[in-house]
Amino acid sequence: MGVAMAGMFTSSLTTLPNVAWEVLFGLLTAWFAYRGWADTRSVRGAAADRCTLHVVHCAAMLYMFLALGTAAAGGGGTGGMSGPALRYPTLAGVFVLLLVAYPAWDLNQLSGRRYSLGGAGIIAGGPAVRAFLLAPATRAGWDVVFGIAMAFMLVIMI
Amino acid sequence: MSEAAVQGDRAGWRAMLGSAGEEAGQARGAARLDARRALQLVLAGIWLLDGVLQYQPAMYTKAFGQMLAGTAAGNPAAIARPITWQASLLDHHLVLLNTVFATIQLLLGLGIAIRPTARLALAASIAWSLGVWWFGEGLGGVLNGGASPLNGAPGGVILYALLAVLLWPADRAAPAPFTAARAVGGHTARALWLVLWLSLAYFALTPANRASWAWRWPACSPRA
Repeated sequence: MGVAMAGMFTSSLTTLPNVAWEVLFGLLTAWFAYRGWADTRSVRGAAADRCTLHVVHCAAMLYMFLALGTAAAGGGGTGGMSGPALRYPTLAGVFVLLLVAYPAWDLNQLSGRRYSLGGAGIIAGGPAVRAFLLAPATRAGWDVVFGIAMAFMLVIMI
Repeated sequence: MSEAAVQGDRAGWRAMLGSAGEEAGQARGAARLDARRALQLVLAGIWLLDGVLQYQPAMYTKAFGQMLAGTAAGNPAAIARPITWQASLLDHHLVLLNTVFATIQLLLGLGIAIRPTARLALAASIAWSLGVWWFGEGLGGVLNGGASPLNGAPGGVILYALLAVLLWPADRAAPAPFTAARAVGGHTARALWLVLWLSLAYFALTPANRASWAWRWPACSPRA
């Protein structure tokens, strides 16, 4: 996702063709939607929450590639952020709202009484790097960065 | 690496992820939202959105400083002079200052969302809102005679400060009749809302807003 975002930000950065990204994010959206649906039916509510976030992130990326690609068909290129405006900007607005709302909600949950932001202790015993990478605070930090960056991309493309 | 070692490693990761998920599930139960906290999170989301919008390329152009300088017009000198000075400063250090502004707004949003820093971030958001209300909105046009509910008076950002006060995370001894009264009490909360709505009514009835052209789009009015 980071590579795809970097490719959208910078026209000189050549990554995969747009079609490949569209297929990839389409599959990921469907996969996480299915996993979220399956987890909602079980007791793993927290896992369903994570899947919901991934669905939103992947769907936003899919939307950006599809909408930008469709708009570019009328002229201009899709590389970088200086291309034509997105189609269906209302949908982009909805994604922006979801992308800024989730970090607020997630940080609130993570900083609850029993689940401090320095929660690396729950995986104590593992190597330090692994513990750091899997720590809820690290994961929340990346989610916030990705969500804000994606919201910013959508805002400047509207 | 042997098959057994690989399976053992996978089991270890699964155990860790599972334990993290269960812990998160317990925590989510513990961190249930009450109405005030939910509204605080809405305020946090608004600040985050403000921060994202502040990073837009349009905010890194001279037009941003000119827009701020324009809010000084019609205000008393004591109010207008600092606005003009700040707009000039912004003109000279546009990239740096706008990045700082946007980052502050993002941090306010994140700070309100994180429970241990919510109080500090709400206090900072009140101070920041008052600063933006003065230097960015010219006090919402309240003192220049051109204020109208249709052009945003008394200023959008002052509502953020009002919300931060009403959603302050403290409780009075007596049970509150509604969420906004929990920190400041029912009478004070009602008085603050009354001031807000009466000010909107007052601005709508000022002579400038009762003129025949006043209810058209503000840009069409003779004042614009």
